[in-house]
Amino acid sequence: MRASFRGVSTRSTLWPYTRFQYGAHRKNAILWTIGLTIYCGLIVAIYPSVSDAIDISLIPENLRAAFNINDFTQLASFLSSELFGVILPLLLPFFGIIILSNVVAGAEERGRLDMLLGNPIPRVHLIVGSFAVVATYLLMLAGVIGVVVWIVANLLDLELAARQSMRAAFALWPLTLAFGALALAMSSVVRQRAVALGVPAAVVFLMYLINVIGKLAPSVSGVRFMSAHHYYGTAITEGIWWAGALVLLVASAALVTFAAVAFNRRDIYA
Amino acid sequence: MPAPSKGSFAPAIQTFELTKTYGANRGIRNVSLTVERGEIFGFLGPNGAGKSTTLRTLLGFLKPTSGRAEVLGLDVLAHSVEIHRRLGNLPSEFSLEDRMTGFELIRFHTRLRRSGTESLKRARDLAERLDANLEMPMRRLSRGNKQKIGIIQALFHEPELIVLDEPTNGLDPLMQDVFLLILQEARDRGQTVFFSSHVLSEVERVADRVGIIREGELVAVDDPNALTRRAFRYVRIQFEGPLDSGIVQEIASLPGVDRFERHGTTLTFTIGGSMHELLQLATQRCVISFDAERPPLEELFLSYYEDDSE
Repeated sequence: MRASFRGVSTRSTLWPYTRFQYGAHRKNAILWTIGLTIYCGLIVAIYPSVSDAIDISLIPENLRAAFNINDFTQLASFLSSELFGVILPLLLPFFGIIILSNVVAGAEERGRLDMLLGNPIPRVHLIVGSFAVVATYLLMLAGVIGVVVWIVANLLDLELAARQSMRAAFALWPLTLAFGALALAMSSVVRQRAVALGVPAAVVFLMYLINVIGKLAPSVSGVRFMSAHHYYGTAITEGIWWAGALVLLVASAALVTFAAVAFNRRDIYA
Repeated sequence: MPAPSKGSFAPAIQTFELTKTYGANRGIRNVSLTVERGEIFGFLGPNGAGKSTTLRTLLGFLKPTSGRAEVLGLDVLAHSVEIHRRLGNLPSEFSLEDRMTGFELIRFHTRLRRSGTESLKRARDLAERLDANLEMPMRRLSRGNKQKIGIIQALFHEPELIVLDEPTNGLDPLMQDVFLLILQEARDRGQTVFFSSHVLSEVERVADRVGIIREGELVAVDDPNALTRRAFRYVRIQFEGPLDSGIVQEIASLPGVDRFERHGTTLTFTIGGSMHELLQLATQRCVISFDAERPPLEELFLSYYEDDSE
């Protein structure tokens, strides 16, 4: 990119800022990597004992449909309903939400924007650079999840193809990006970091609930279209739903654009 | 210092009826101000008078409610990035990245500005003069030491315009002296300095011109000496021999005389405006001593408030 922004090369500040953000969040990313490695490894490791202990025929059919519980004799099916069906879609969005809610509202609240923006950096670079950093780290975390799940499964002689594990992990990427973009948009509009953090956090759970309710009650299944989790699909057993992923990516792009416009228009108080 | 560029012949700062309101009683109203190139301009006012609002509007952080402002000949809203490239800024309240050292922060700003290794050397020189620690993580620095890092990041790239909001906050008196000397050197190199303060003595020491803001309105702009010349003086006259009440009465009733007191053959009072008539009257008697002192800027500053409140 070599376009100019009112006489200043846009390349001149985007890369230094992005590089700075990579460094600032490296420690976070490492901690998440360690935590996810341990957690995902444990979930796969407990599968052999769970597969024998649970009789899924005792679970009501609509509940099975809501939580993708099909067949616990297959590791992929178990992971689809547990790790990739509940835990990670609810947990992983918080990596992006925590970081991106800080970009404007959090930084303003702590008095860090004035000095940074006193440099010749267009506001849009803060938005784009921060989002790019989170997107990259999320991609890395997804890769770690996919590899860890596959390695532990193979160490325990459990049947799981590498492509199943990797596509399940990478299907999380558009979903987590969308919630991160929502946090960024909130951060650009509100002045309290707690709000920029709290609203997207609540939306994660609300959308998950909407998707589950839509599955439980066919009469209201239409509401699922309002949920980001609907577009996430069940990649480990059915492959990545590319159309759903595209919807999430387009929504993310729209929210990031909105964040850039809102930030450009707002007053900065500290 | 960078070569002169776009808007080189325009004033460093120019505002036209600049207004920024947040609520009923806050902000600035109709501030029209010109800061010329190569001068140190002190912007005086107590806390809450509108100093920071003015500076933040000039930096493009706040959008004017009405009026407009130009910095280095460029509109502050349309060209904020180009303006920031050519200025150095120290906010009044700021926090720094806790984990970084001062040097890492300066290096980051060097990358954003593409200001090169020469500016890093200048940062080290400034740190030495201000006795600032660039190697310690900023979470371990005191308020004063953080302020020094803030000052260095505003000055190290030798910008055309230096905008400083309450820059001596947290600095000990010795460092204040060093800092004011650095500002004078910057002015001597042709840089423009615009700094706000509520400590009038420091402004009086270095400023070429002073602007006084009160409750969001610019009430005076002049050079510090002209401001004091225009204002009252403390006068103390000691006469030889007994004084008749006639001359005492005549002096006391001169236009501009106030706070008149008589102690034997000594008269003390304040006088505003011309002293021509006073000198004519006084020299009719034998004067042992005649002292006329300018008020310190602090008192002058207060007088602007008192005049207005009356």
